[in-house]
Amino acid sequence: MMRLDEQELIQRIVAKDDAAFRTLVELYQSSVLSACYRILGNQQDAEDVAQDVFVMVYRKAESFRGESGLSTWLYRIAVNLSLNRLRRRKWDRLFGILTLSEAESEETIDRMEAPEQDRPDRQLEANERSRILTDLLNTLPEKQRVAIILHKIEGLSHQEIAEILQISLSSVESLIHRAKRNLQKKLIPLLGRI
Amino acid sequence: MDCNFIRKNLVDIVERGLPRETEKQIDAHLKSCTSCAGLVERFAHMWQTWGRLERIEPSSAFWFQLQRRIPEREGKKVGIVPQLLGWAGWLRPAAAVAILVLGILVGNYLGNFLAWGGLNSSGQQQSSTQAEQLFDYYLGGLDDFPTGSVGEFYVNPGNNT
Repeated sequence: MMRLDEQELIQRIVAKDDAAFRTLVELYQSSVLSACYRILGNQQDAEDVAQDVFVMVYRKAESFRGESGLSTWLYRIAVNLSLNRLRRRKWDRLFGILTLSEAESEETIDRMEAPEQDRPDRQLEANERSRILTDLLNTLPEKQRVAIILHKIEGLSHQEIAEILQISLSSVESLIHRAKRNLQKKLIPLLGRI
Repeated sequence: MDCNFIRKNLVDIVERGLPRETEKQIDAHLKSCTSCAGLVERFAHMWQTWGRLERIEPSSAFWFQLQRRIPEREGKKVGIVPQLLGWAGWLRPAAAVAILVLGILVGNYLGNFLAWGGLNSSGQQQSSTQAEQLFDYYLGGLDDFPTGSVGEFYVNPGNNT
């Protein structure tokens, strides 16, 4: 259920109060951006979609009924828009069109790779583990990936995830369980290399 | 409790999500099996990475770019072009399906055209009636072999008694 201060914030946004909208953005931009980034895999697309989320909030604030919390609502929009963007990217690839954001993000990733000799060993190892985990996340089926991202990275409860994805609690538990099993199976052969 | 169980339940072992009795058995096995102990340790090390994944922050231009995307905030109306562009995401797959269906229909028409009509030596389409006439003409020519000839033997075997 929505808290009273969230209710007031939304009502002010419905009334097109800029200060209230800015407050909302500052409160939730990190969480929304993080969720989008984990689903989409690059910062440029993630920022683009995160902005889409807040544009939608600004335009459709009156449609928020308060049955769930504000963060749940925001996550739901973020997940849906991110998945739409992901599917659109697959269509573009299918027709041989590489979007500008993809091309730029590949260049960005290349630029971000620091020369290995400049990094301490432990940092190198930690980065390698992060990279492996992120790569494995991307191999999961869509629903499992979203569920495990919301649970393990965003720290949401199963109930919250069920409200965001609009599925039953048992479905969430099943998705997370299968995601963990899949990751476990794929991680074991790689453990010797870390 | 064996190594196979450990290997299959690494996540539950690391997250301590198993019944207390099972955990005791696991602990006992890990004390005696260095291979499993090493595997669990490496897996735990890896699994802890969840909490250390790079957290990204919005760029400094995030709020500025967001403001520019909401013209209504400045009392401006949303133009027709941005509205149409908003529909582009739906048009692309629809266009792809339409092209596919059109291709199938055109291919089907062309295939039927070539199968039914055919072309005469000057490249003009012949009617099916004309094609049938040609067929009968050539087939009828096979009836002109002289009596007792080899050709007649093969074409009209029933006549050879």
